[in-house]
Amino acid sequence: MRLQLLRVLRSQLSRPLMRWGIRLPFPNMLTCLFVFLIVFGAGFSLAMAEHTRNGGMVYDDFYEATNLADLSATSSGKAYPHDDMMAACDALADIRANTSHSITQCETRYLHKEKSPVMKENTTTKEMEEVLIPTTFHGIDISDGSFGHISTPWLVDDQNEDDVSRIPIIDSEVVIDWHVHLELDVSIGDEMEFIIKGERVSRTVVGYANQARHLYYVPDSSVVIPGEGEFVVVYMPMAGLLSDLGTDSQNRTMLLIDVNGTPDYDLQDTLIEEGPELREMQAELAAALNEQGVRNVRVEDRSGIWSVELLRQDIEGSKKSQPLFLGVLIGVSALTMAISLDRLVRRQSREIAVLASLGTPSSQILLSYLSVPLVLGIVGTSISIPFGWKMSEELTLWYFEFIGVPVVEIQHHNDLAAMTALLTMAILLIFGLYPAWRATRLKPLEVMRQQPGRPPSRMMATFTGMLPASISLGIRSTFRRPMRLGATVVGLGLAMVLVGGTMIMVSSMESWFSSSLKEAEQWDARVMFNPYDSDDVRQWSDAANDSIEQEWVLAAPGNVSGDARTLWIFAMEDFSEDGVETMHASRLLEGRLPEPGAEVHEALVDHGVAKFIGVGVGDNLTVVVGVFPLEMQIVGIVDEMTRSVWLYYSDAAAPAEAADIMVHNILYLRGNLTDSGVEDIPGASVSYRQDSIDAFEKSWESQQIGFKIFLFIGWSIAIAVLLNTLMINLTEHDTEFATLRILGASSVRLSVILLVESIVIGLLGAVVGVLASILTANAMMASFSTWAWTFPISVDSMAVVMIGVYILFAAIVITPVGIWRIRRMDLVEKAKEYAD
Amino acid sequence: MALIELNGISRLYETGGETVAALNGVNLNIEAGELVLLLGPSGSGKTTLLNVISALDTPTDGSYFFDGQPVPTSKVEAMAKFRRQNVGYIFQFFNLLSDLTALENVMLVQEISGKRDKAAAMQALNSVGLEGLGYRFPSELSGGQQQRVAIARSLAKQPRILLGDEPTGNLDSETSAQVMIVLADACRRQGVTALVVTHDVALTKYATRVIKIDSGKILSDEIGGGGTIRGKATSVARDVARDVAQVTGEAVSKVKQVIDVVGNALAADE
Repeated sequence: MRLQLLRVLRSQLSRPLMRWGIRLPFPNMLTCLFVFLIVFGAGFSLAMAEHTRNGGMVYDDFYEATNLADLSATSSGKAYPHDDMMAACDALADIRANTSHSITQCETRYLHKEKSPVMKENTTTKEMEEVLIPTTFHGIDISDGSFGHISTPWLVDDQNEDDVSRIPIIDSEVVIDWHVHLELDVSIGDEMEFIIKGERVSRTVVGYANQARHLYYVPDSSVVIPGEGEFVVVYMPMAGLLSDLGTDSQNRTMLLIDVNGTPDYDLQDTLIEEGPELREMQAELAAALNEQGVRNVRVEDRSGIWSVELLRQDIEGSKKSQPLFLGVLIGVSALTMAISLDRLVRRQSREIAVLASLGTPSSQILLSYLSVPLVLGIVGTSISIPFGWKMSEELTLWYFEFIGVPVVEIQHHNDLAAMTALLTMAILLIFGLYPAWRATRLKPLEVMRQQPGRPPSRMMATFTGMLPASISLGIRSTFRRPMRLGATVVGLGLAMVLVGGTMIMVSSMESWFSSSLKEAEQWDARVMFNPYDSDDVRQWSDAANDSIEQEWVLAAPGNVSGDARTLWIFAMEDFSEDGVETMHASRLLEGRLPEPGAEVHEALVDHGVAKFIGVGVGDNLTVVVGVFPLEMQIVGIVDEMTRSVWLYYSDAAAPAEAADIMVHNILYLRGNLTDSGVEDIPGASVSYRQDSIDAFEKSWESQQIGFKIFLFIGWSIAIAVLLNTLMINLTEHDTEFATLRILGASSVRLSVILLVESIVIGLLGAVVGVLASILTANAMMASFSTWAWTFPISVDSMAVVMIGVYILFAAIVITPVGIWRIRRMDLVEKAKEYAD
Repeated sequence: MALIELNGISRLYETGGETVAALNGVNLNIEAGELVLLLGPSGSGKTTLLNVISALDTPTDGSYFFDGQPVPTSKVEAMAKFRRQNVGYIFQFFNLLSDLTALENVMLVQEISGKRDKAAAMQALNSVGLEGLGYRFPSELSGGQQQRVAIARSLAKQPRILLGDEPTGNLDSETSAQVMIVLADACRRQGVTALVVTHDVALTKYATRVIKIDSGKILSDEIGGGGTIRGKATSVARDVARDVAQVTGEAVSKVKQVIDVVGNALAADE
């Protein structure tokens, strides 16, 4: 008889999932909730992992396929003879001969920036009209039948249009950047017009290409979000370009060097020096160029290829954050499941006690309760893998579209899927272990004794003793199971890590972008030109001087002495904080504006330079422009988009050695530019502030869907965690509420008790959620923050309030559900469960 | 006029495709001030009867009047209001809220009834012999003390009727006796009518009236050991009336038989 009973009871234990379904409140809903959490958690983690790997492959593919230059020297406009540049290369090759870093080959190019006339729809009149778009022309030597050998444009075919790209054979043929094909709807075979040296020229498009310098598709680093169809890049035969420019056929502006193998280079986002050899070679090349009279060039290694380096750093950031995402997401799921499993054990304590008293081994009880996370985990991860794959495709496409980088190939990686599934199962089982272990530790005699529940702590009793009993009941019952409450709060905090952190970061990013574009830049148009070929610009300027406000600016790349990372030196006519007296407003974070003529030149640095170089107000800094060192003292720190140093032009250009380097190359304009003829200046490109703002807003708007999906997932997880606790609390109160209902409590009275409890949990959750969000936003920024990409996190009070209100609201919304349950409850049967 | 008047109350349940009558045409009148014990085996219908009287359950058939007024039987809020205004309830497992002290348990029910009065709550606890224990939590009280808190909780809102579903079912016999004495005494002092469901025949001595029920029907309705003179007189009168009715019925039947026999004989002679 005893054996038979034991068999019956054991057979019960062998069906834990059935019991899970029967005994847990809202069985289907909760099971769905857990599976949902696991699917989202594991799926999203897998998507992140695949995105990171696929992104990394984009980088690797580019390096391999285009033979990315290991060293380069780029002039800011001044042309130098091909032979001089190659002589410097030969000198470097001699130095490095018979070393592991020998020179494989060198190549020169000619870069020119001007504009292209393109037909676009006017957003106001909705009519097609011609607009002039800033354009970068790459002159590449095709005389040997190739399209260059270093940092080669990577030809891409358009499968959809059956377009097959080829390299230009004659001077009238060009290859356009893949972005131009996509955004301006120009295809192979089309004739495209360009303006070179003020003259319109027509070229036949024979191919599309991606190129290392234009992966991240912006005209220059001051534009952070790429605007659709706002920029053109053309790869063309050098001879044709030089002929159109009317310049010497030997003139070059760029030297590219391929070093043997794949030499390490200094990664800008780390503190250690990864590429000392390449750094030495940089110095050797600079000296060799100087010797040849090639002085006004910036010598860089691969870290200076900003477009690629930004991608690499971003992928590195994703790699670092991916395990965190997996841990957080699955941790939330596991915590939620552990809470419910604990509740299941508590409710089944009498059955467990009976089994234990009849001699059931602890291991059997343990295994039966572990089977819940095991089975739910298997179901969840099985769904999560195809879900993750789909998400990975969407995420990678969205992401690369957002930053304007073409995706080469999206692959699914079985090892990542297996790893994610294994980690998910491991986390679920580890979290399920505690409640399962608790089940084995239940003491039959204590369980059978039917003791009333533990009283609240004295402090809690005293604290709530003054309140009406119904309010006091709501508060005390919230803290009845401190461990579960703690787990909920931790779970909610973790869930908010994802959603709140993103919310604050996105809101900070948007307001920062917006203020950087709208507040800092107060010019109407910006003319960019070759400083060594600026006669036409100056003529136009003189003619328009009376009618249009003008400000000459020098923007030159450089680096802090002893640090290879590229920054921009802005030499200004004057400074102001409001952008009224000047056309660029310096948004001071610390210190004051510089004064001209100081013994040591006074300068501003942006917050990124201050942070990464580790300098502050009062410190001295040596910045190298070309080969010329410029000494300055920091008097203020400003909020700027790019890593930059700002000083007076009069100071920057004062030293005799700087005369050839410190030359204006930008002209800010403010006033009525209609019919001013600014767009007709030969050799110059014009961009408008309003266009930048419109492009940003349009781009930002189009990317909102991605953020919204991300936020939806985060909020779903947070709400699921919250609902789980509140639902368990509700069911735990069933007998109490049934008792009160039998004693005549109205729905309103019960609502008050439930509401108090929900508000307490909601408030706790809101506080933890807000704190977790702020901490995460800062941690995320610290993690993602790189030399090229950093901005200050400003905690938007509105976003914080919204986070708190959402959580509180979600908690309160459960009250009607509780009342609905009580109204349809079998009160007498439920009240009898007190015995359980 | 009886305080509780049940006329032809039936309560049918559908179980496994079968209809089961938990109550089958029950007629019952309970006068104010009575302490009625409802005895019966498991499944006899006694708890269902208690649920109908407390407006927790809706009868399938019949009518229920409380103090001459029909009792709501369908709208949950109206039923809750009826309980709030008229019914005190004692549970087998005390059903005290473990997060609240004894005093707070009593005061919570006062709050529910809109009669929050700390002094009265304290007095209610004193009246059941729990002086000085008001600030203890249920886990700090014995089973008997917990049930006394439950009695005080039920009486603190001054209900018209007090219903107990096996209130001593979880107590030993000595404690059960103490609890019943407290219950009977408190009801008498406050003039509360009580109806207690139990298995324990030993408790009949505290009741003024003992009703036995089985298969959803009242089998017997007798005076309990704790009956008052008025109650006893009422009970005796009821028994006499029943006996008279029975005797009268039998006599009429006999007369009818005689008439039939005589009639038949006369017809045969003719």
